Amino acid sequence: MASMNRIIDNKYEILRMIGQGGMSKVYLAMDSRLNKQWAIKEISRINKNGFSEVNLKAALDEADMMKRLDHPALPRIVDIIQEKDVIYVVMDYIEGEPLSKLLENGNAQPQEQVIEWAKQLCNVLDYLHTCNPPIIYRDMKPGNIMLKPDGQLKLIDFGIAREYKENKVGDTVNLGTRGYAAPEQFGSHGQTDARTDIYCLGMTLYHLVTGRSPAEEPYGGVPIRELNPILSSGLEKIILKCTEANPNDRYQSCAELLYDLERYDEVDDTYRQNQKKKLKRFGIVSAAAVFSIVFGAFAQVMNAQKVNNDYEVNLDLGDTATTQEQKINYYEKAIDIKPEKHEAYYALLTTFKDDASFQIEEEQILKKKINRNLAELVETDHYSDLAYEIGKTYWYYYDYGSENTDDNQLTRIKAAKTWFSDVVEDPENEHYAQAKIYESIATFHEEVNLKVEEASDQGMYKEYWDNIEALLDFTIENKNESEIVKLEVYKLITNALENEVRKFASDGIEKDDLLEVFYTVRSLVDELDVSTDKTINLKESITSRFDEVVKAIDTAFIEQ
Amino acid sequence: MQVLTALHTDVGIRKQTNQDSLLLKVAQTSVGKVVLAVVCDGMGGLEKGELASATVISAFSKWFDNDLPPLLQNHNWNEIQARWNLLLKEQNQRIGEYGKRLNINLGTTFSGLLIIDEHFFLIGHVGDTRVYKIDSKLELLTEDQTLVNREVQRKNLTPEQAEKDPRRNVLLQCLGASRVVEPQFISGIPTLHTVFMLCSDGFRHMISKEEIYQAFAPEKLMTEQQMKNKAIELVELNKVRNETDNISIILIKVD
Repeated sequence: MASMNRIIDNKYEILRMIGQGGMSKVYLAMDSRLNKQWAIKEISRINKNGFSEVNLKAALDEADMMKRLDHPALPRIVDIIQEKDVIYVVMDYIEGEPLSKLLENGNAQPQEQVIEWAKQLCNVLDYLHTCNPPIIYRDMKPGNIMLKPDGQLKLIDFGIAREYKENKVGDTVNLGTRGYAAPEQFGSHGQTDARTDIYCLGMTLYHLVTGRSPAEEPYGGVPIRELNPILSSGLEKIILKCTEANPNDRYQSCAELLYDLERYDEVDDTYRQNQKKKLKRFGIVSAAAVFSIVFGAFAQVMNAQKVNNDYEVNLDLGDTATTQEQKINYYEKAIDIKPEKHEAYYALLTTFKDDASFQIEEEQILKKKINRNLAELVETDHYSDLAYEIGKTYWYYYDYGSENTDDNQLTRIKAAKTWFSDVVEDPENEHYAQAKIYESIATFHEEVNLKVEEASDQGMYKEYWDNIEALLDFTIENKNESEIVKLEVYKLITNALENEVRKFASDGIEKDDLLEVFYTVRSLVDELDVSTDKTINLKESITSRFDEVVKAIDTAFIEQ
Repeated sequence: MQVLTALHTDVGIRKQTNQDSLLLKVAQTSVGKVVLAVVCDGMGGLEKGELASATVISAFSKWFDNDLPPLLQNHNWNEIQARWNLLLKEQNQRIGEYGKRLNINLGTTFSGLLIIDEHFFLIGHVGDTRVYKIDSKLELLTEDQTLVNREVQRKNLTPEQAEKDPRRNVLLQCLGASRVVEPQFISGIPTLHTVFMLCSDGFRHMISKEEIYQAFAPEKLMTEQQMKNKAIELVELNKVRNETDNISIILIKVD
């Protein structure tokens, strides 16, 4: 054994031991003539346990073969010294640290960096595999890869008297020492080839990019994005292909692997989707071009025929008509042609709301069209969207009963309820939450009088208040809501505060909560610019109640 | 409760050393018969595997002598699992540090069974040694923490392929080489007229479940001598069938 300060072959002074395996030791040595540092690997026939296990002749042959290798990522062998029972292999001393050091404490390495390393490693493996005869490294793992201060990698612990070769078949081993090894490296019959190195490289990349050793849960067996979803799906596919159990399913050469590594982002799902989209867009344009030609010919044939039965045509005519009657007329016709299509109903509703009121005659028309086709409509896709629109039309615009009293709000709310109930049937609907609130408020108004008579109304008001607050919240969120809708919501709240404040108080709602909502509503009303007679009146009537609301809140809490 | 025990270990036909270590202790206490049985299959080449398995055996032997009696006195059965867990993690740490210092890989599996009369039993387990229960049938209680077993669970291998897979000796967990050990624990109340069998993996590769059941069914084991003879018989059968590993077995019959 080389002891410290010993001089080998009259020129290499042993400075210290820098590595140790079962069958070999590596020392840092100083070349006294060149004044240069080398690493010296000592392979002893008598290992530290006194058993003779190393075939020195084989080691010598291997060292001779390796001496001829010349690649920037491989340490050069500069000298081989043979003594009785021991061989010294003198090679480049590589400064830097092994990648395993970077991985301590589970530090995953940046993806871009890992790809760059992967290319370097692929390159050196390709060099080895294309030697004649090919050289299989067999022991690719982070502990065997040195990162030099200049950022380049070097493979160390090169093939001489590698320990696992001495592992007897059938000995129990822990995965910790074998985690990077390919399935064919276990047992006696395994044939290792270039694809074995590709497997080990895949496992090494897995460890580098996830920070998880393949010897730890989940033992390298899962796609990398299950451990870190932000990693590239392209890299994931590459690593999965490298680590296929069957060598035939892996990359068959490093050149193949290198090709994919250089295009890993193109293997990405997002990239593929973009490509698909591009293809689709191209397809649509081509299809449109073909269609134009065909349609041009078709249109000539159709030209003479009457087209006013057509659904689309009636819709278009409705859109361009100038009077309400005409519009309604066309939309009704459209509905009659295709009662299962929604567009005409929406168009009809918009027309009804144009004058900011959904009048009784208009409601008759809608009812006539809807009720006749309702069974069919309910079955159509997105029916709940239509129901929501109808519900809102009733809630905010319905005119019924307004000629008798100033406020028909309760009538409107109750009339709208059944439509919101239809929306609530469909939890997928984007307005599901709002519909539920509308329905709850409507239910409250339907039931409250009865409950008051029964004196069982306690507890209802808390829920009502919560719903009102929610209604206010989403009205504020939805800035595009019409003046009418906004004002109606403010009115509902102002009315509730003025009339039900005692009930709110007795149901445990804090004065501050009520005031906070009130102040919000008040400033919203003040800020709102109104443009029509109806909304001007509405705003005035709400504003006129503010003083009363404040009084009502004050008295309610004084009484308590 | 009546307890009959037997154990046998054999270096096998190929290896120079026996790295399996066994522990079997029976005590008569105020709460009745208490039995501790442990099988450890060491690894790490040459004499180091023996060192790892013997270290763990010795730790559990000391635990039985010093730490168990107060727990028995206070009937603290449920605390024992936590103590074992701690003990196993400590052993993992100690063996791991020793290996690091000497730059060698060594480690050991662990399968332990503690029976406290008719009150309680606890099984602790790391690696691929096994604990079986034999009453009207043969039942494997522990789960192998091996690469092939993992692959079977992931449906990448069938149990039959796993038997033949060259990686069948690769452990996912062992004391001394795992960063974090996660032992398997099983506890309960022992049933009588039952045989518990602990064995190293060398015992079970070459013989079938039926052969084990035929040899160790409770009604066939009436004396400790009978048990010992049967154990030797099956170990020899393994050797005849060219099992190369160390072979170890402990039998405990409770009535």
